[in-house]
This record gives sequence, C-alpha cells and structure tokens, in this order.
Amino acid sequence: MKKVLVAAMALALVAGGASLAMAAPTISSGIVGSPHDFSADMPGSTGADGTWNTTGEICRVCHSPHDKGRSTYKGSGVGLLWNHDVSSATYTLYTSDDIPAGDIGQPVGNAKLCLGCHDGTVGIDSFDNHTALGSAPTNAVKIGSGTDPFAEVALRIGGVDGTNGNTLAGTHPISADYPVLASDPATRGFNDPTAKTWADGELVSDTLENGMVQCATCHDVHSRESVAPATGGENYLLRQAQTVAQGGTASGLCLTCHNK
Amino acid sequence: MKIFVSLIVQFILALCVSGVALAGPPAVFGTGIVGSVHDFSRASWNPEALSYKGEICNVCHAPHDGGRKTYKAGLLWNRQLSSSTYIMYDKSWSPGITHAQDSQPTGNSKLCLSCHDGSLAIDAFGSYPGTGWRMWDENTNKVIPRFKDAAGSLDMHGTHPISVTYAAPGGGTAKGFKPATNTWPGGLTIADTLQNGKVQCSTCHDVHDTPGEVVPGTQLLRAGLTAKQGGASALCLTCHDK
Repeated sequence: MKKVLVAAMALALVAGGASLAMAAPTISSGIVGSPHDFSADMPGSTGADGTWNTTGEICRVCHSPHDKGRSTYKGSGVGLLWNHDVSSATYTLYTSDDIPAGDIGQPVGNAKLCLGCHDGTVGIDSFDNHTALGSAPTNAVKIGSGTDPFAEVALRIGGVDGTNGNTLAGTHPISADYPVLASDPATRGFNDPTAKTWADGELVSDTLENGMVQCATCHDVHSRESVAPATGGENYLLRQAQTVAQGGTASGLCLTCHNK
Repeated sequence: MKIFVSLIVQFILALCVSGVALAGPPAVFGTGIVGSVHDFSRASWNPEALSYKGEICNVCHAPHDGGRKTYKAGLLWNRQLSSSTYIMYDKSWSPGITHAQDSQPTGNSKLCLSCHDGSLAIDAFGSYPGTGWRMWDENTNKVIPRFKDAAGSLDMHGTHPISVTYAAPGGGTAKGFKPATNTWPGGLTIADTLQNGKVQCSTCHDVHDTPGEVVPGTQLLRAGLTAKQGGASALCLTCHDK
C-alpha cells in the first residue's frame, strides 16, 4: 500500500512538473501602447493623462540622442542616453534579519532611473529641455500626487507609507547582490541565475546589473520582454507570470529566483 | 445647452480628423541639397566674389584637389579633418553596449565632425585657409554634444554612440534590435545606412537632404520623431526593438 502511495505521489509530481513546464505566457509586444508610452499625453491630443509630454514622443521622456549640452546625462555610469531628472532622495532601506547589515545600500544604477519617477519626488515632466521648447517643467506631475491618473499611489514605490517618506522598507530589496558564490551561505534558498530563465527565455543573470538585483530584474520597462497582461488585467511589466490567469503558474515570478 | 453639446461634438470630430491626418505618413520627403541646410552657396562665409567659392558641393567635395592632398576619406573630400580626441559614448559609459566599437570616431562621422565638433573653421576648405568662422559662430546648438565643455574636452557622453557595429549587420536578429533588413520610411534598409556595418551619423541623418529619404521639418532625419512627422519616436524604433 505504501509503495502504491509513493508511486502515485511521484506520478503526481511528474505531472505537476510537466504542467509547470508547459505554461507559456504570451510575451508583450513592446513599448508602443504600453503603460510607458506617453505619446498621447501631449497638448492637443486625445490623451487623458495630461498634457505634459510636449512633443508627444515616446523615447524622449527618458532618452535623447543628443542632449545639446544640457548635461542631462544624469545616469553617471549608466549611460542609456538618459534624459530625465533623477531623484536626490535618501531612502530608508529594506532590512531583514536574514540579510547582513550593509549588504543593501542606497539605490544605484538602473534603479535610480526608475525612482526618477516612481519615488514621487520628481515631476514626470522633468525631462529634456522644456525651457527651450517654451514650456518650463512644472515639476508638478508626480506619481502619487497631483490631479491626474498618475496620482495612483500604488505606482509610487518609496512612499508606500502614504506620507511620501521615501522608504524602501516595504519593498523587495534592490541594488543588492544576487547570492551566487557557492561559498556564500546565502545562496541557500536561491536558484542558479545562470540556469534559470524568464518567460521570454532570457537568463536571470542577464537581468542583473553588475550582479545586483534591480527593479529591472523583475520588471521590463519597455514591455518587450515581459508577460502580456491577461484580458482586463495588469501585468506590471513582469518578466514572469505570477498567476495562472496571467498565463503562468502560481507565484511563478518569485520562484524563478527563490528556491522554495 | 444644445450649442454646448454641439460644440463638444465638433471638438471631438476635429480631434478625429486631426488624428487621421496625424496617422498618415509625411506627404513630402527631402527635396535635395539645393536650398537645404547644407546649401551654403549663399552663406556669408562662402561669397561668390571669390572665384572658387559660392558653390554648393565644393564646401565638402572637389573634383580635383589641386595637389592639396586632403583626400582623407575618399568622396573627393575637400576639407581638413579634426584632429581632436573625443571622450566616446562607449561601454565604459553605458554598459549595455556589447558590440564592437572604434575607440575614436571613424568613417563618415569624421567628415561630419570636421564642422560639427566646433574645432575647425567652417570656411576652411579647398585651398582657402578660412577666417576662423566655426560652428560655434554659426549655431551653438549644431555643435553636436556641446563638445567644448568647460574643461576643453570633447565629451560625447550626451550623444548617441557612433562608429559602433550594428547589432545585426548580417540581417539576422539580436535582442533589442530590429534586423538590419528593416527599412526606413524612404525605403532604404538599415544596412544601407550603415557604413562597414557600423552606425555613424549618417545612419540617422542624410546630409544631402536627398529626395525621398528625409522627413521634412526634422534634423535631416530618415524617420520622424513625432506623430506629425509620421509616428511617435519612429526614428528610434526603426532600429531599437522596444
């Protein structure tokens, strides 16, 4: 009887494994029409989200091919033809008894770029050379405040306490090394990032920045490598589905890295 | 009230109509070098009074160089080239660049920079030594990346990388980039606008405002940047698969 039970359980596991492997969420189609396509937010357009994107371009909100000496290449060490103001905020960091003190510092690299809008301290319209275009940035269209749809507090990472207190204490650690050394006890509980892939086939290690977990490790800002949202749902630009409804498996995102 | 509603309807209709117009491709493309921004035949610094000046092509090209030996890069080149050393926009600045790049500008980009880095006189061409009239005097915004910063260095950290191998020169695909067989609105492929497989200034800009290849009202761009010019960020998205 015991043997039969064990065999049945093994079969169930195999079947479960097979269904996990078969789950293939649809990959989203790109920046055009995605949550980061602000081309409709230009004056005189039909966009509902405001009129702060002066020329209605998509890429220019974050990148510029020539900065005309504005010295806006603010992502020092990041490049990316960065064209948007970045936050000067100092954040309360995420702490956990399981993470040695000092392992997580102030956000660096790509994460700084995301926080340029998503910490709610810098205007979304603080990009490019507004003054030359005859419209100085109001620095008023901020995530989590103001009068338009960007007032959505859920999009504001650092201010999740509702006081805009720039705290990252309630959000997954960023700018933190992914534990990869075999000698590092912290590797227990983590999958090998050079062996695990996201939904579009990209290696987890390719989505680390200098070995660090960043916002971009889970989220694809351009909606090109992320999972397409289910009908009527949102995908939060995630690189792997979190639910069956999103075309994947339960907590598929977390379990890509976390070996639980 | 009725008038108010009718006004709103008219407004919406107007928006729809303008939307249709916006969605269409640009009706007219570049009209050629004559009268373009690179037609200097009437420039103050290129007067017809001098027998060999007042021409269009001669500012950059000469059919015979008269032994001046400025044939630096083919194209019957007729200008001195800048000897500047530039701070490149490369992988040390933007780690995402993984493709081969020249350590300094090469090819056609060197020709553009002979005016647009601001270090040489625009009116120094052919056998004429020039008066020291530089791009800074012409239009400071045309000095590409505000090259001459306070330190006197030629910093390109604020401008798109050049002299860098396109991700997929053979027509294949590479993550984040469209295949080089993808076409510009004027019909040329990306590959046609690379030089030895490399992205140069001329990949995005057509210096001659060649008929059929440039979107009017732009900086001699091969594709538009706004909806009015044929599509929001169409230029970027011709190459970048985002």
